[in-house]
Amino acid sequence: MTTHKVRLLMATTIILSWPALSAAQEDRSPLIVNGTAEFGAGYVDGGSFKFGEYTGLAEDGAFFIGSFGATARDAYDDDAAFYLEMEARSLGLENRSLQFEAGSQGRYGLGLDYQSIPHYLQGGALTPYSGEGTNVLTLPPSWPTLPANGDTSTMPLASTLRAIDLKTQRERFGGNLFFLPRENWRFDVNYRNETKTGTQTTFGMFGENGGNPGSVALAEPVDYETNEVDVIANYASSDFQLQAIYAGSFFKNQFSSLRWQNAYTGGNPNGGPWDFQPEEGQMALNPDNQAHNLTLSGGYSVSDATRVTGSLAYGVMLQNEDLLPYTINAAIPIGTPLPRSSLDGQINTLRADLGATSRLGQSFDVSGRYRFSDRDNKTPRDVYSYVANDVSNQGDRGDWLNAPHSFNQHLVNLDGAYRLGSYSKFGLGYEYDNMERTYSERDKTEEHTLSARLSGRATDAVDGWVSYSYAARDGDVYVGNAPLRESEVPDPGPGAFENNPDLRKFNIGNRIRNEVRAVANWMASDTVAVSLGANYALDDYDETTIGLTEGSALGAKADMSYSASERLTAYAWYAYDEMGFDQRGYRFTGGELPPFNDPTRFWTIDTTDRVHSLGAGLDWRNLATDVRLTLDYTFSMARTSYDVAGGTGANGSGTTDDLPDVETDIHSLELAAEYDMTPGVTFRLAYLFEYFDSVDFALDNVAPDTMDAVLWFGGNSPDYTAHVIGVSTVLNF
Amino acid sequence: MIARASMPRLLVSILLPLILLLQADDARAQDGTLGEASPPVQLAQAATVGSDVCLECHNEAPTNLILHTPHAQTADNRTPFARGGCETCHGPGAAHADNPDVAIGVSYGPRSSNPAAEQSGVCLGCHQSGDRMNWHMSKHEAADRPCSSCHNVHARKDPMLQKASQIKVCVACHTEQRAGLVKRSRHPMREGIIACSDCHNPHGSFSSEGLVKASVNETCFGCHAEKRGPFLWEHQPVAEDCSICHNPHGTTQPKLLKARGPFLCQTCHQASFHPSTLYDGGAVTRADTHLLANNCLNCHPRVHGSNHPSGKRFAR
Repeated sequence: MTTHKVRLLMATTIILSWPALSAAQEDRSPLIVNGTAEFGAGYVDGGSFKFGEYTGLAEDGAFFIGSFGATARDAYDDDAAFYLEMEARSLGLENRSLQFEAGSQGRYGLGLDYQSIPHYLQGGALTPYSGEGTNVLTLPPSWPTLPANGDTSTMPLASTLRAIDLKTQRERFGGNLFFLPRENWRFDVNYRNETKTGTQTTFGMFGENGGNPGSVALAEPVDYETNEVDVIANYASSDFQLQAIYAGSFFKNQFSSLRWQNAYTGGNPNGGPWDFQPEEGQMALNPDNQAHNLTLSGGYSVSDATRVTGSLAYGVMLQNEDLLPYTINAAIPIGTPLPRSSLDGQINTLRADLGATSRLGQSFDVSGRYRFSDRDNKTPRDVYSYVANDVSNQGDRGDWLNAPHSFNQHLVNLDGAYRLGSYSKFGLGYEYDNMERTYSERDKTEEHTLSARLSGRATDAVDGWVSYSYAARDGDVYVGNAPLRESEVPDPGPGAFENNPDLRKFNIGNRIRNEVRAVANWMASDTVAVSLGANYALDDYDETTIGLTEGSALGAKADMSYSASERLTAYAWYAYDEMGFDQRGYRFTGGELPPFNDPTRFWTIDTTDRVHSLGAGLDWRNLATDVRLTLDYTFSMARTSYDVAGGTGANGSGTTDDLPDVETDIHSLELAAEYDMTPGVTFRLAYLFEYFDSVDFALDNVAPDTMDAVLWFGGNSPDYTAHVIGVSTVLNF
Repeated sequence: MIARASMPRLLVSILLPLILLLQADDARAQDGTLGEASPPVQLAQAATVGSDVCLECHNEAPTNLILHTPHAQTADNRTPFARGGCETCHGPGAAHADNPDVAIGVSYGPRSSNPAAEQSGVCLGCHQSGDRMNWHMSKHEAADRPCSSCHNVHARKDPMLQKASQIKVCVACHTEQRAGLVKRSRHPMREGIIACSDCHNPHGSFSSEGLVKASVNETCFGCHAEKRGPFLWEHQPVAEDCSICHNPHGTTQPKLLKARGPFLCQTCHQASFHPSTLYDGGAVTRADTHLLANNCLNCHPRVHGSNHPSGKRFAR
């Protein structure tokens, strides 16, 4: 948070709270105040970027413990209802936050808030580039012209690598003003300003195709500012409610482009010819944009048994950033000049919703919903040349039309439930989802879903539910080369293809989905509660031979809680999750034509994600000794395995080897002991232990020069053992 | 693994006996309404006793903490205490005051004998506007979860309305999301920076999964406005639905991805040469650029869309 914003927040807080306090105290009893304040010190040992990912506790050392929370309000039976609420959390950490609200209940109020959000992205990053934080990244002056077949191992990294931080920081400052001018009406104005600064990972690549890249990991500068404003009007009577909202969002990026020096100036690291070898490359960063949305919603209770609601929303998303040149390599001749200087991008969105629910007689609940949603992309379509990464001969790459994607959706839901007594019911549901897409392999998909759910109490102590759903999705004829033919100029013809014609993308392919879920809850006694649950879902992409062929999700969980009294509560839970993704591919090379049916080229990968999670804790208070102990422990063990199979031609090497598992084990233990030294002063001692152990073949032992043609940051997957101890005093008032 | 063909039969064989069992459940009559009334509990003057009488017995925390909450402010004529005090929400208390064994009209919480719709109906008498307009079509209502399942109006600060404590309330039932919180890749929810209600409206909305905005993408753009575009070169699934590739509740893969590249990318990209090649254990050994580090993004980093005229393949 910038200093002037902190000062502004504090000054505004004082200025706005003073009249409320003064008014509240004139001729009246003082406000009743209660709250807590905590201050102390903590120390981190074994910090890591991953441990401090969202708190900033990434380095060993001491930190300040500070928090504050207070509420002041008129006595409940006073003839005024002024209130003040303040809260400050994590003041000594990078995720500190402040909140303030004051007002007269039922009349008006004002809120201010601030939140800082760090995000540590990677540890141990090394790069020869300097200029991080800016949009021009340069190599050391001594960087040589590498030999024509040079790769990362020939680069002078030992003398040039330097450590950099990959981290972003958000600073949010918000305000809310509301007032209720008369009965049934309420108006709100919300404003939020957020800046996000720092660096994140991107890559700069040279090379005319994926077989001949020369890429470098780069620190992309992040310097964003987003302003948001909402204006809301609410009307509510007992039967009729209306809400109108204007929402505006304005995003600005300080940097529209990133330039970086070419580390592969000697040539193609894989030995092929590179034309027009450039000294520099340039990419576009996220463009400034804005969005406006107007929503009108209403609800009407037709009777005690029937209610209808509806909503109509219209929105516009705009983007008109100046376009960069095709390339900054002046040696490349450009066939088709830029068709426009800026995009003039615009997407109009329209959404209409209507819903009704009714209770028929004593036992039947019925409801229906309809949604029409339209994303109409008005961005102009133009012909653009394609300069492949500032390297290749322009004449080889052709011209292309951009494809501004539009969607519209009709969604219908019908649900009915029959009540079986007070606490049980059986429901049936049907959903129809019709979605149309432009520039897609499939213009329209349709999905029909049937569902059933039974819930209830078998006894006073046992309740639960079980549900089942079946969904079938199909659609228009799948034309695999449709996006290619709609984009390439001129139309390459019906025989052209880019993807394997047998590929079916999973978000638009045919799919049969079965899903079952069940939960049972048992109040074993006045003090013990037990809950068991299970779920299983199977997605069968029944007409897919290339692509995702099957997806599955299996879960089981058990929970137990124990509440002996207000002095002793304990809990324990266990969960198992298993996700499966089965996919199939077929390796082919340029110039080959379908049918692709050489049995040696097919391959499959069945990915299985297995996660065991466990949690346990207790909260114990001894009133005689004024001592309170709390414990919370969580454990997560994740294993991602890859079952690989392929013919001799599936990967070009003739053999197929198993992939290693990706593993993550996380133990986290939080212990706290509190001692009430006096009724208003508590001494607190806290300890946090976290053990994080991960194994990831994509990161472990991958040094900057491990890959032939990608100069990487390096840094292994996270492993750490962190200890944090904190000593603090809590004042209760 | 359950065979698809046998699944419907299995479900029927489970559901039918359960229906028969539950038919024998308490046959207490429903009132045939959606639980709406204003004021929600009809107070016959003769049957009421006033809050002072209630507080003679219910004079300990947490019950009497209601007096320190917005619901008790009599100066605000919308509150229960400006109308009939405790009995506005709990119903006339004379019979209960005379004989504590006689149950109060409406009680709340897991041991309440009042049906969920009846409990929620009391709250809806005052709280049916704005973001709660669609309560009757919400999944929580359909699952017979009354307002008191999540809210505690007697607490000085309702845990559900505090970012730091809300998550514990939600994951008590949403256990799959609880497991996500302790996975390697996650949003900053354990730190209290993001709350479930930043993305979801638990009171129901027209969007799928009860989101606060009209769609998944509009919800995500609330914090990730840089990905909103529109871009010159759009990546179709990005424009359609972020959740095609990401699971916001936590995953075992980087960047909240459901699966990692190149495998995730290869479910939709099977072009000649490297996109259609199998990357197996041998690719680890030979340090293949398509598998290690950020895999496909090593060369195609602008995967959320590019505004560069030569950004067709998301490399610029």
